[in-house]
Amino acid sequence: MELNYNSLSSISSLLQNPFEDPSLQTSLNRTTYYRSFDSIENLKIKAHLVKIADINHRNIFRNIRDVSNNVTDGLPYKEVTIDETNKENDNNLNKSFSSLKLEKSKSKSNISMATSPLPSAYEVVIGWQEKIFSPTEVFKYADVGTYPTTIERKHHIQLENILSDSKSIEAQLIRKNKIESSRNIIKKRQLFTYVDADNHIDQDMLYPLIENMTNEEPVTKLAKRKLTIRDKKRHTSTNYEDEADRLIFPGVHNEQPGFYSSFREMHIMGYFERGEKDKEEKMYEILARKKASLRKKRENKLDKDDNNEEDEETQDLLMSLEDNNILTNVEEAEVNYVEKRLCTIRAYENGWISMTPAYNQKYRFTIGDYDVYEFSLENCSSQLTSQEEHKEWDLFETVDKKRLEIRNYIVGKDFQEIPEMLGFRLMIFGEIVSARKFDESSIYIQYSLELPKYWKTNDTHSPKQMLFGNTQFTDFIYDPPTDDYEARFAFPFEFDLLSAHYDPYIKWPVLYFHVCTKDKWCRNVTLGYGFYNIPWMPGHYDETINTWRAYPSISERMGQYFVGKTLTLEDITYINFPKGFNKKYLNKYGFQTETSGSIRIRLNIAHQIGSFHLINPNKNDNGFLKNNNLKEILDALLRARKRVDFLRQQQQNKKDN
Amino acid sequence: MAEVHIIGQLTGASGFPSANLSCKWSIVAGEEWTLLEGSIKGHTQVDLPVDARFSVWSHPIDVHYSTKSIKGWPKIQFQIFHQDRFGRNELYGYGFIHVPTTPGMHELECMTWKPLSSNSNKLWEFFLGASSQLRDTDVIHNGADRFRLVTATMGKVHLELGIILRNFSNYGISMS
Repeated sequence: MELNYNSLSSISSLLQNPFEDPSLQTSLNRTTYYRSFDSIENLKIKAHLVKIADINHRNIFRNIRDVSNNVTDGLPYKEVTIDETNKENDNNLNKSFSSLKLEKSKSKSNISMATSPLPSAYEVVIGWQEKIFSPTEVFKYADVGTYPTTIERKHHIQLENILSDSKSIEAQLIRKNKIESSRNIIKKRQLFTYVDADNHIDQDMLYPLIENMTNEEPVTKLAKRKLTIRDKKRHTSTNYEDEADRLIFPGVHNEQPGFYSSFREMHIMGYFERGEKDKEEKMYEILARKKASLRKKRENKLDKDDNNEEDEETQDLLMSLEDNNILTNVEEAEVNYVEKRLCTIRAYENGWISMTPAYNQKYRFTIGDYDVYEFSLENCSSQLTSQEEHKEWDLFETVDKKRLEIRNYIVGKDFQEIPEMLGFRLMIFGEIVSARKFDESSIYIQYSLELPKYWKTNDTHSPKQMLFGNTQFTDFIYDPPTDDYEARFAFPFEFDLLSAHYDPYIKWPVLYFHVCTKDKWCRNVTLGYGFYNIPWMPGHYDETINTWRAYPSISERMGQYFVGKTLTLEDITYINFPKGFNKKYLNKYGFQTETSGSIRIRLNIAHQIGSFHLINPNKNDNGFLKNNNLKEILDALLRARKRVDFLRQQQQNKKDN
Repeated sequence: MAEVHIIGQLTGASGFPSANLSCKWSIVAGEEWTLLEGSIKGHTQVDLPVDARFSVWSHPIDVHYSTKSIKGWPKIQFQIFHQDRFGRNELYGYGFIHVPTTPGMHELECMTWKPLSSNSNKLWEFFLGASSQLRDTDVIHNGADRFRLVTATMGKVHLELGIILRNFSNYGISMS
């Protein structure tokens, strides 16, 4: 006797992991993200749906083998019966079959089981935003009433186009005009789609994490509405007020950009027959709803006028509701069939595509009590050939080149030149950052720049430069990382200076700082002096400058205390080399100072050298030294001078005569 | 013309009297500068840090400029706002920084200050949580009128900037 390894396992374990096949999943809610540079319109998905078990065929194991169709070696499969307690495993027969079929199958081999009455696999290729109508929708959109909405009208026109082909499933359905009698036709339309315009919001996509009882609404109406708005930022109702809502963006406070950016979506849906029990429940539900609405109408009418003539009609209608022939086709469909979301595809603006669930995997789910389906997706969008890819890359390259050309055109080639030829330009972008350790509560800083010999400001390009300035008057704050108090200025200064040429051996500009405070009576008090030599290398500098101030004698201190006298240097350059200093050594002995706080400055220094014409061969309009034959120029000058002299002499002679 | 890339991020802020800060920033450059790519303005999220000493923004900056001149080198100016529990935004500081001229990565801290107002205005501020602001934000990156102000020192803004330069050496400019 042959026994399969899973002959004893229960149905649940079979469902979960029949062949330990990792590609088999049961959750349809797992989202996978893809990214594509291609237009989403090129997406094509092949959906594959097959019924693998129903009330008559509960043997999942066999059916899986049948479906996969890979085993063709003709070996008799072991049949596993599930609900039969007395297993007669020795014969290769399926006990779950009806007795009639059992007799037949006894005489046949197991391979004939493959041609069992389970419906064959259903396969359809779906393009992006391709609308396939479900039987319910066929009835719904075939007659849309007098005032259809935009979507209804659109679908109606589309449906009429399809109906013009009399062989189509839709046309057949309409011809039968009854859900019950057209069961065989419906079997051919097991998959349909909701496109973006349908605004379909599926419940199991909305709150997949909320557990609920089967006979209970998963969330309250309010919560549902809230979730719906958040998910799509538009809702499905067709009331007039809600239509207005759709035009006006809801005032969401924290709009999340990026991930929640607008997307377009489509749903691939399954259309399945309900179990008998479900059908009954649904029927009662719909009848109850109908009754309630009728009763409401009746009450309204009673309120308005006491005409009881029409009232009788409605009562008749209510009576006829008791036997259930009153259902319309759409309601009939709702009772007998259930729609199940099988796949949701979303295309985001940034090129993301999300699929819930992913393709190339098998998913299994149960409808009703016995019907088990297997569903899989396949990406059958046309793939790029290597030739096409090559072409595309070429196109990208040309586009890129063009873009660069345009960029180069915008950027151009001209650049601001230095006024004096062969000059040197020094740009300083600086900042007084902060000050520390000054024993006053608030301070301000004066800065000034000394321009030594051979330096001048660049007035042509940056006029009105401030070589002297004051910062704001600011207080100190405790800075925890350094455990100290700090006054912060963030005060900018910019200098644009010129010199004959780059020479580190001449004297470079010097920055002087004078730290002051204002006392209660708004008198300025000097707190410190400091200086900084502008470095002769370009770069980024972050420097701390220590300061000192003159040490006052006792009488000066008294003056400071009573009348606000303060010791100020007459010439601020005394801090550095005093102005006009040209002796052998600098003597500051005899001058008493005390240490004061420190200033932090930040400098960015850039150099521009004017002789770049000579360095850069690309430049054609070389204004300087165009005819660089100096001798020629000198000769011409001499000739001109001679001629002037000659003319003068002539004039003199004339006067003398 | 030469080109400059400024790529980096606003890391965060520290040293402010309370957390829950956001930062409005913009880049100011001279007339000769042309913006090729990127956005020169932005506003970070409001960060409510667990550790109140440092608010994290990690806000990206990515700008591409071309220029005819080294004059008017770009500066970044900041306006720091504090959001209180009623959702009111109060000015907490102004700051500015020169974009470094040296190519490479720079870790910078920018100091901020806020203008102090008269005593009656202070009363107003205390009850309504609206501090006085500059009429003209040019004062933030321009030193000319600064001496008229009395300010209070505020915290620091931390930045990381990477600078990429192109073609400057062709025009005789040396940066490092």
